[in-house]
Amino acid sequence: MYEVIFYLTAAIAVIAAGAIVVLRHPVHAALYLIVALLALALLFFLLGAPLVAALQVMLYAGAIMVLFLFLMMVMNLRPQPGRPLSLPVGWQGPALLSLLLWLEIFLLLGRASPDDAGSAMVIEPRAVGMALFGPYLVVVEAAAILLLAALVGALYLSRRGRA
Amino acid sequence: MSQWLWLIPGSPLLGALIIALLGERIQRRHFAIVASCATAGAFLAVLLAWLMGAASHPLQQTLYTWVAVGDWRPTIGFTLDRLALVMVSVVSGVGLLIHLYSMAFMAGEKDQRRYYFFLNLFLSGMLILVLADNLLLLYLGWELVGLCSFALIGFWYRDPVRAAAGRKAFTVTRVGDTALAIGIFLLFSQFHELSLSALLTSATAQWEQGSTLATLTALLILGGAVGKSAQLPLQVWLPDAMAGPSPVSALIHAATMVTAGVYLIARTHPLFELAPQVQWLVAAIGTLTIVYGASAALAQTDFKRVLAYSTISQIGYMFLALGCGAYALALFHLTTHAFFKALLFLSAGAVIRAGGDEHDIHRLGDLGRHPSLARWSFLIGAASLAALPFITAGFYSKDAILAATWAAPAGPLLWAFAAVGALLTGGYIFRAYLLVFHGSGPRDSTASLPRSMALPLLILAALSITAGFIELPEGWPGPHLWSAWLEDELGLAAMPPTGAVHRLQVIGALLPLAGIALALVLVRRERAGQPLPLTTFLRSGWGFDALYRVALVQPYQALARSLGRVVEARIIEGGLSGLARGFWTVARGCRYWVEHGTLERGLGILISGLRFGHVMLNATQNGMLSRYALAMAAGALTLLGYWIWGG
Amino acid sequence: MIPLTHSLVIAALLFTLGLAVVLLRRELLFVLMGLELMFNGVALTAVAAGQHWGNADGQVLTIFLMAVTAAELVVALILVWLAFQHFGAVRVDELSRLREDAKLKGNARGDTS
Repeated sequence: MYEVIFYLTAAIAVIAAGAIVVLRHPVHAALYLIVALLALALLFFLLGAPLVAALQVMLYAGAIMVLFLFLMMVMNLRPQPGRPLSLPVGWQGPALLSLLLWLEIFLLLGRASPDDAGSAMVIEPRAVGMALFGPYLVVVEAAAILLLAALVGALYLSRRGRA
Repeated sequence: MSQWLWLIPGSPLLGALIIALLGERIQRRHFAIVASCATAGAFLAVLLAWLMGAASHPLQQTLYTWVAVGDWRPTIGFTLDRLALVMVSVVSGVGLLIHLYSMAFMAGEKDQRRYYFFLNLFLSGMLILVLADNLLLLYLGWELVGLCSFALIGFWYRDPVRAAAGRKAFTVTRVGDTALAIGIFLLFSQFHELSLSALLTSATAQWEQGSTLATLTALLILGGAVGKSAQLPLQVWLPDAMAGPSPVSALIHAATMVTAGVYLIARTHPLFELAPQVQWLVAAIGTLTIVYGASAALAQTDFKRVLAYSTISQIGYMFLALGCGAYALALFHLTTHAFFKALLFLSAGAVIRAGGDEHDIHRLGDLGRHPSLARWSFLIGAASLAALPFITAGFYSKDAILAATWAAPAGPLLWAFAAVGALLTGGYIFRAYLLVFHGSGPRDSTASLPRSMALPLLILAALSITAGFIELPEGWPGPHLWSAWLEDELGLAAMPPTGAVHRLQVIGALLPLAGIALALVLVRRERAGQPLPLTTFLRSGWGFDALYRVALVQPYQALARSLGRVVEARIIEGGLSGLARGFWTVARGCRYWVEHGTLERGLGILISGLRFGHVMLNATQNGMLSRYALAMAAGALTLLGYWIWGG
Repeated sequence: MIPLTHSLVIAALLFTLGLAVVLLRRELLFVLMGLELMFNGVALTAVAAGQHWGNADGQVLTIFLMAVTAAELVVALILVWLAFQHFGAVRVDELSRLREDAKLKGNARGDTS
């Protein structure tokens, strides 16, 4: 059971990724990307990394893709110039794939606890936290500085009056 | 005393160096004094050696290691045993007297510096030769002596005849020197050692009597001795060497250089005893040379050439003694010969000088007015040379040799030749005396010799009379010091039985008198215009000069000329100029091709290649991001593939 | 229990598809999306490996990957917006000012193909 779900989710992720290659509308592509990311989050969960699964949904699918969509909206991107953006033409695909993902999550969560998912070992968020603030402390600090740099860069680059 | 041994050869060497290096600051007339003082230093060192007991035990001094090659280390070392003591006494003593004589004789000479330099250098070379304790050092002295003799014989080199005489001396002795060198090489190759004492002990221990190696080595050493001592067949240089000044002739050709060969054989006599045939050959050569020299001297007209052939003949006696194993007696005759021959040469020099450089004995006789001291000293010398009985030193030494000859293998034959030689000796020397001093010219002389010339003559005359008394003949009461003293080193001569000895002595005493009678007969015949039969043959030294000229000199010169024509002119010159032309052509070709052709074309190709590359590479810098990304991806893929499948 | 190899294969597929997007699509945003896909493929690899070795390192790596990606994406998106604003460029081809013999034409809206 567990394996079936795993491989199905994996297939969803791959198909969504493949769709990005061929689509013409950027927003459609973004939607398929979101599907892929959600599928990946499920995969993380199935591989015994609940923390990362949650983070994936929150950060990637939640924040990063939102950024993408904001930009597309502001840039007013169109597949062909002149046509206004309406309900996406190819909305069926991502919807289908997302539905399938959703069903899977239901199935998983409806069943036993994550410990029961095969004999896959689950690495508790607690362990991840210990690792982060233990051996990898320096890297955490570095990542913080990196985010600071990105922030500063974003502020600077987006100032008005820049030629 | 051992540490002062170096003074004996070192003092004249130092004198020579001073004359050579500081000669600018020395006045011309002082050179003689410097040289004489240096020689006196050597003589004093020798006297000191006598006093310090060198006569009782040998002294030895090693100065320093000359060469260090692997484990062979020849040294500059001197050994003064009794044999060497006799030699250095004679050499330094007679050398000193001759320096004194030269002070007056060469006083008018312009080139004093060169004369005294070579004279001192010669003495040091001779002393090195005698004192050397290894064959390498001995050979050094040998060569040095040869060089100085060349320089001194050809002293008045501006006269081409005299220069040629010097060259002839050098070339002929060179033949002997080469033989000696090969002998030394042979000894070294066998024993890896050139120290004389070690060498002789090893040789007697290892080589059998009559073995090929011993014979060969002895033969080679004999070759060297024959060259230096002017024996047959290498005697042709000595008569011509009279071209040098008379003191030089006295020193080199009476006392020192020509005796070097005798010394060499005496020193290496164990080797000769290992090769009896060679030793007999020594005696044979000596005998033949005695007769040769004496007969040639009988026909000479040049005053000094008489004495030259006389030297050749007398050294034959020494060789004869060596060949019979009577080494001490050879040394005895060497000593007495040094005295009376030097006396004869110095007197002859004085006579020639007083007669205005006239050499011909007939004309000297006509001139007359010879210095009386010269006459008397010449007479004493002649008597000693002829071995007039009892009163002359020559009698004792020569008779001892004749007696020892009888006891040797083929003794009587050798004795017969030697006796004939003694007869002829008396003949030629008194012929010369009579022709010069009893000629038609006035007898009384107006010239008197300067003191520095007179003193050596007196000393030598005294020695010519008295030196023989230290070894009276066998069977006579009285001192027999000489042989006994040298017995340890040189062994005793084998003497014939006493009865035979007495008979031989009687005959030996009569021979010189018969010689004088012969001289009287010859002189009367010559004055009457009847020369000796075979005069031309004898005067030319039995035609040896002509023989060598035809057999050796002319072919050699013809070869040299032909080589010069063919090889040098055609092959070498032609080859060289052809080579030069070839190089020139190649250089021009290179210049044309490389400069105009290859370089330009090459550069052109390079430039167009670079331009093409520029164009191609420029295409990649097109600023298109997707192309860049594609390139990166492709590169990464390639590396990954290589990593997975290859490395 | 999912074998490690299968997870890696899936991750590789995702990575390759992301690379395909980067290379094949000309629009700037699509390139960025392809980059995102590639990053996620790497994240899957990390998590699968962490599961295999049984420690938290895989997850830690993924978290940092997310942080880095976020930072990078922020700056990249601003640049894309600026490019759109100044050059009117939506496609990669239009941003070819780094070529060797480019003549700088200033705000060249008319330079688009």
